Amino acid sequence: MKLLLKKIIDTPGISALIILILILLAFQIYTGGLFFNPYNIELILTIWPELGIVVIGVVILMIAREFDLSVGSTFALSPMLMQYLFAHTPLNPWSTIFLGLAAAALVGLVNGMLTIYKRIPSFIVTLGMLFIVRSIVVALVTRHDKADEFPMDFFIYDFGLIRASFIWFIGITLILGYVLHRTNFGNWIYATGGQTEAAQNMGIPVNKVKIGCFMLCSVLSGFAGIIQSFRAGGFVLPNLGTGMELEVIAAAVVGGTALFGGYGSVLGALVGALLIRTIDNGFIMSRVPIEYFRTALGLMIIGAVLVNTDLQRWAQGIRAGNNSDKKDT
Amino acid sequence: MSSISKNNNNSSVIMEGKNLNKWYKGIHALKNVSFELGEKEVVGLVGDNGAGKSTLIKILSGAHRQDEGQIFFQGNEVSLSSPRDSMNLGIETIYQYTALVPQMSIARNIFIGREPVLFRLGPIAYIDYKKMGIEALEALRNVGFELRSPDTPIDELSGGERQGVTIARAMYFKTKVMILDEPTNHLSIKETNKVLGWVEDLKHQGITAIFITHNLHHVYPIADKLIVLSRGEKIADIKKEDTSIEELTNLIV
Amino acid sequence: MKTIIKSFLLSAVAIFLIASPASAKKLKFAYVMHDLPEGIFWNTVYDGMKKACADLDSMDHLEVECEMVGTPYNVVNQVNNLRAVIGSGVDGIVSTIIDDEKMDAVFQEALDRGIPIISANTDDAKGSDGNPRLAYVGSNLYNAGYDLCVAAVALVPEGPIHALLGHNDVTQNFAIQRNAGHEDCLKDFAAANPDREVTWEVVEITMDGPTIQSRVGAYILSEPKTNIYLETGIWHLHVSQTLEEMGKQPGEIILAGYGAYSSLISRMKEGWVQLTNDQGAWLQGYLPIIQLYLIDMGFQPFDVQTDSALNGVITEEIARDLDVESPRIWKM
Repeated sequence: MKLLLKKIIDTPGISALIILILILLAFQIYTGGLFFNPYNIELILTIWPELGIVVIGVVILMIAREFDLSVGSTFALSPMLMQYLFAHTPLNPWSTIFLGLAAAALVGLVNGMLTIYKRIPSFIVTLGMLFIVRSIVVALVTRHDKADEFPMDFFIYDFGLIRASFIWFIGITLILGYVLHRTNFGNWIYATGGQTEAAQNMGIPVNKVKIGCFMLCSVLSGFAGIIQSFRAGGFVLPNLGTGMELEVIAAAVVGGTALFGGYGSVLGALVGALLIRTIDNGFIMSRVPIEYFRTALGLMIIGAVLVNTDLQRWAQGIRAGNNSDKKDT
Repeated sequence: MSSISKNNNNSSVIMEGKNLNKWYKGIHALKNVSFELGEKEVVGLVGDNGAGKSTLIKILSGAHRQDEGQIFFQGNEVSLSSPRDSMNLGIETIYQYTALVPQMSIARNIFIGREPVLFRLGPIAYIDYKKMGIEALEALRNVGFELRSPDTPIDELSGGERQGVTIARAMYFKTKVMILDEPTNHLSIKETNKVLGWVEDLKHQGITAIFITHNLHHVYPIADKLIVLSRGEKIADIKKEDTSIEELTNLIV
Repeated sequence: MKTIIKSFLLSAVAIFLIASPASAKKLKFAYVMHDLPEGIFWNTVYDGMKKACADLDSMDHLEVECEMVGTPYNVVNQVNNLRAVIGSGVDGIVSTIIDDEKMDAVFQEALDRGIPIISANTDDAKGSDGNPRLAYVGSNLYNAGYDLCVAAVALVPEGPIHALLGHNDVTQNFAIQRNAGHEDCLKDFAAANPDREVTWEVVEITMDGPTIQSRVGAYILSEPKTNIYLETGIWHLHVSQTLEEMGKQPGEIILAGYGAYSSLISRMKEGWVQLTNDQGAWLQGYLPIIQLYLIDMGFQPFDVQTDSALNGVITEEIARDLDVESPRIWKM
């Protein structure tokens, strides 16, 4: 029984899930049943995928022990380039979407190459790219009134409670969940982030793995940005995604991802993104006064991580107690 | 500098290095080192810090390339340009601190880079988890290591248990030459003896072991042959029965 | 013979005088500001300046040149740019005032040399008492907030009012000042209409579309009596989408904010957004140049608030007639 409990707690993201459920219940009680109003659920299910898709990419990259602070800028780059090309070239909408995502992949490639081959910490490289990509976004600002010609329904069709973006989100989650947890590539990502030298010694192409993760993270950001721009009526504010880099790291950490690689899960990414999105919503409904809003948000982030680590330490204690060999060391 | 060299007529040589040289930024780290490894031999590679031990094993494991000299494996000259090349030949290196990924489970660690595959989609392969778990337990049992679950993360194991996992891994993949980098460092006496027992067993499994250590007392009892390096040069290459701890200690110091 | 040559020369000179544009008056104006002329706002200002210049230039007797000189926010650099512009012999200068003291001398220098200089976009805190500039053309955040709120409240002619005041950032001046205008207008309206129940609540909503949607959506669900939404920023478009998803009708909640980008204007044409203030970006480029021309003609310079209700607020009626190519619509 204890071992089963330990196994559950050991799964990255599970403790965040427990915290999430408790918080949701607290909101529901505190708002007098208003929180689980269908409109509010719809609201959250609409905005969750747009953050969640980015967080999945960031979590996978963090498992490989790298950061990407440029996600917010890439989030704006894909849709902005898509619009620019659509307005200024004869390309069809699908080609512009593809090129928007290709540009995101290129950002990821540059992030990865500079980090790996120039040995600049990814924190610095992607901080630089945050500014560079944002300035490209501003330079590409485009005015047009042909937004209707984009295949928006394919990305954001409104089914009532959910949108097409939610289905995309679930699909991406399942595929990347399987890749990360059930395939050789996933195994390599964990090995690369957990102990790079060990992975290298076992013949894993760690550089390619890392660059792949950078590119995946950027493409997911660009994809989420396109979804959000479509939901905003097919147009892009140049400040789209500003400040997102910290939000996604907060979501990743709340979801149980280690800051220093080798530990994390797609489930954690989902839960972390949902927590960040609902805390916001629930606070407003609970009427936290405007002055204390940031405090409450900050406490919630630190609190979630504290509970997370405490639970894990406790889970390790279960194992240590059962193992006599451990005393030898 | 005195040097002892006695002709060892080992009938079947598995691996051989000839006149290996390596420079790092102008420093001559390995000077004309030649050696032979016999089949089913435990070779102790000893020497002080900076003697060239790690340079030599990096070359043998494919992590670095020699600047001059040749390497022969089972009689054929080989070019080892990546850890994969060495592993494919059956040369497995277990580094002191970086052999395992601590956050990952025992089973995943045993099969890193050589995962059993259920099916493939391009470069991505779906891991056969059931097989991986069963085989991992089996591999551990072969080195006399009983564990409840192959899903235990490595960082919950003791230092000796970790060495056990790496040795189990090498044996499972039919390694022919196993390079152990300071496997007894920072272990308790009880665990050191356990690891020495495993290394001795390797011989019976038909595996050649290179045991790198700065502690002669650990390797001497189980070694068939001892190679001593000092400042990048080989200063001794001698069968155990032709020497003694005292003689070797004087050489190193 | 001599007379022939003389008359020939005279007629040649006459033809030259009639045909040549040399008879046109040449004017050179400079617009010096504290930012690089990039981004939506300054792009729109730049467009306004260029249009004013082109309009003046198209007149037969005028030849007008304008240039915009920008530097990343730095008083010393801007003063140097002003000196360079003065030295190059321009006929009039527009400049932002980003320092209440350090720019006074260079403004005086221009006036001493007979070059008219006016401020735009950003003025001295004490206005004409703090700096010798001849006039100010630009926004007044507080007044703009007050005006927008008055226009919004007028759209709810009877019954109680509950306004949600969306505050984008409690640490940023633009949001603080506009929000103060919103609040003061509601206070004044409540005092003037004791028979009507007037309440409001300020909520910090951030500057991120989805977060704003989540927060405003949650608020409106928990406070269904809300009938006015006044935002200090440009995200009332996003709020309109959330209201639509929540099953509200267009106009059920009055939406008002700032900015004039194309998709917002099309949303207004559909009736989902009632009011927006275009911040007078284009006017901040166009009007100062016209002012300099008027000064050159002998008129007295006068202050213009580009984002007052009169100049800045776009109502649904105005939006309906706006073409996507209209200069009022931001280039984005």
